[in-house]
Amino acid sequence: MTDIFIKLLNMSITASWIALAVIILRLFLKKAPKWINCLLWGMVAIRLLLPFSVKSVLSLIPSTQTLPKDIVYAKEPMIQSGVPVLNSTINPVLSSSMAATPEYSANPMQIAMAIASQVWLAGVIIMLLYAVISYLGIYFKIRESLKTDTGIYLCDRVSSPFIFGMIKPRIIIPSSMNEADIKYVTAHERAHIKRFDHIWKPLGFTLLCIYWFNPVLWTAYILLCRDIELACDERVIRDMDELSKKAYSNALINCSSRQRLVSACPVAFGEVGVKSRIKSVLNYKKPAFWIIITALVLCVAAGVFFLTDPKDKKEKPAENYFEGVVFSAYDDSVLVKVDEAYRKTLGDKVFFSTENKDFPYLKEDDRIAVEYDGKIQETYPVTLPGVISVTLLNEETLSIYPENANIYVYHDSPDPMEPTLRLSNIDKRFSFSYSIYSSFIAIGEYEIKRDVLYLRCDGSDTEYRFNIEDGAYVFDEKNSSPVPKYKYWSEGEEEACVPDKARFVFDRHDTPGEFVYADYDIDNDGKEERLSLSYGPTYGIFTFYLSIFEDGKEEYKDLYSYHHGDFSFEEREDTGLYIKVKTTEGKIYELDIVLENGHACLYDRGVNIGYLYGQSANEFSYSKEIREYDGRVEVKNIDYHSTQPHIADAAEAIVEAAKYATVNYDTVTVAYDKFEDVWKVDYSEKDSPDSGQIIYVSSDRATVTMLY
Amino acid sequence: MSDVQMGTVESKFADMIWSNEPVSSARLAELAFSELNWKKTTSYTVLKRLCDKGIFKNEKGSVTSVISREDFYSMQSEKFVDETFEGSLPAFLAAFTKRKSLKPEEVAELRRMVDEYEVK
Repeated sequence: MTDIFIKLLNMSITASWIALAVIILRLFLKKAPKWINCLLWGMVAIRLLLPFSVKSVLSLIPSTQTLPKDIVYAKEPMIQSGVPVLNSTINPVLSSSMAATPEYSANPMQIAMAIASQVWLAGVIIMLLYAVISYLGIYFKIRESLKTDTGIYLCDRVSSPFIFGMIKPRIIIPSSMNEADIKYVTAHERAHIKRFDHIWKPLGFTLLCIYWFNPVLWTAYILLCRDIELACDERVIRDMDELSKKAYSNALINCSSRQRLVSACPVAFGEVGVKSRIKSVLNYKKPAFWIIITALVLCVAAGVFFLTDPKDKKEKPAENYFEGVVFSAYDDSVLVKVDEAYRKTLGDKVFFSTENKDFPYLKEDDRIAVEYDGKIQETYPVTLPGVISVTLLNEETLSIYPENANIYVYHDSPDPMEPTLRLSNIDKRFSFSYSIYSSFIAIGEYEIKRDVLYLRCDGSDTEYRFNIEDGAYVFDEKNSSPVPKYKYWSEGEEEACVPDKARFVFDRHDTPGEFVYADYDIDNDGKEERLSLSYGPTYGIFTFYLSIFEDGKEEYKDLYSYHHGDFSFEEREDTGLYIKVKTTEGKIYELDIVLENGHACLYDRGVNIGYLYGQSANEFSYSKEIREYDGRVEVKNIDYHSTQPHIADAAEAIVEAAKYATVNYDTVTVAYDKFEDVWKVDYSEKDSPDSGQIIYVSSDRATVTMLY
Repeated sequence: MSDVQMGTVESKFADMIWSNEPVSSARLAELAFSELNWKKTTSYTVLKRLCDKGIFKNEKGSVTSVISREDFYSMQSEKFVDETFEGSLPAFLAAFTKRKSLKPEEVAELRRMVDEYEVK
């Protein structure tokens, strides 16, 4: 409902632009025949009927989407009217009164629009009711009419002549009219019928019922009615002599009534601006041919300018601006592949640094728009030292959830959705969704300082604080911005969706999506399961997950380490489904899938490659081994507290240690020293036993010992 | 009573009653249908209106006139003279004869009427 309303709002604004243009154009068309005006009004009607049109650079419509489709969800609702003056006057008011605040569960804009669309619907119904009632009123009155041999109907009960009926139009004349007048009135009404006005006027009124909220369109309708009458007069008196014209004017005067300005059905004779009509009738001169031609040309031009939609214009100036696709982005360096249109000045690749600047997080394949100060360093690739702003243009909204994140969940919430905290592994981005009732999700940068997790939301002062206790994040209500309260139980008070001291515990790693899947009956139960492979936490370098879903439920999930390559599911006639791995060197491995002991085991040439989850590691003694190395070690103390809780199993140890590994590897062994609470991760290459690296990581991830 | 008026269409309907009275309302409706193409309900509506105005009456389905045709039109003329000539018949006649001169037979008729009136 609300989106229909917003679409109609936009259509009516578009039509208003053309209506305003027609109103102005009419002033110049005074000498032209009035049916031209009716054509122009027809264009306004077309805009109101068709939700779309052809796009053209010639379009003079400022914007067809003045209210963006997602305005109800925007944090700061803004209009894009295409007219900068309008935008700059209206948008500040909008954002100050309608900005979304996290405390409220729905944006003010959402509420306002919902109410507005209800009011609109009520208005439409009232208008249509009015039309129906007046139609019925007239219908009953004209039943008592007398048909004359000229085909017109005389009726006692009406005070002015009009046409009734859209399919078989009947001319109704008040019986009190004298003969002479009747003659001219009949001619006028017949002209209406020939022009199909008995169809256009009700159509126009129907459109008015739908768009009743737009005053410009009311003006348009009133002027349309006037133009229709004048065009009709012109048609009647086209071939009349002076005497007849005078008699016609007399008839006009006699019939001028004080009817309502706007009526839906009757095409009434004396309704509209009698004085101006008499003036036009008496002064009528057949328009010259060239006037008609000019007017037609103007019409066609108006059609091209206003019936077409504008091509999406960028509101930024052409100079010192370009768009492109991020080719690579790491640390502070960004390399961008420049769009064709800008290559003349900038070449095909451009480089700039994001150091010390407030730019959005960029990754490979992001589409961006960049404004810079014009200074270009003629290096290859071209370097831009003075980048002013970077805007993300990705068509789909950039996923707000940090990828490759650790997920913490508060399981005791009364909310139907468990409040979830996602902290990215690769950068300091977080997302915090706290209630199913809130359309707002907090995103921003996080920081961990001295056992406290700080969440700072983008673009506002909202901040949430959690204390780190036993590897869980405990919500600190006193030092955090407010979270919304909802009434979860019918008898009871409102509760905060995240109460003070809510414990967010580690739930799972976020896998950046499956990269391959297959539907296969792997357990021979007659039903097909969904198997999917997705990257492990080390982002595909060498770990991967195999998940098996039965009826939508995840029955198996294990993490494996193996060679890196392209993974796919294949089928063999005898042994069924297997995983095919093709490395970059072209070597092919095949892993058979066997379900055992509640795990999906993968066998490479008959050998179980093992899984990493829940794997109890071998034991070792840290202090003993350190002594053996005798100075060949380097102990690093990580000087910020780890962002994750303690390492829970072998898989996590591998992931943590991988951050520090500097060698190639295809085999990993893990061991654990219970006493010292240290994990040992041994990276090596099967084919070269002498290369390799052992990394010791303390369970709290604060100390890393590297062996060279 | 002198406020009673009928429009052209109502007059046509009234004429049908005067020409056919006493007539059953059903028969009247049939007549109205054949001459005016009116639905039954329309005829009854107009009939009721005319009865309310006091010109006709509908007793148990039989329609008769309360005011005869001549009486009705006399009242109209009287009303016209009242309104247009402030009730002055001479004024009316003067206006009438200004545009159309009276024929000898009409003059004779008038004289006779005046004589008869004086007698009262």
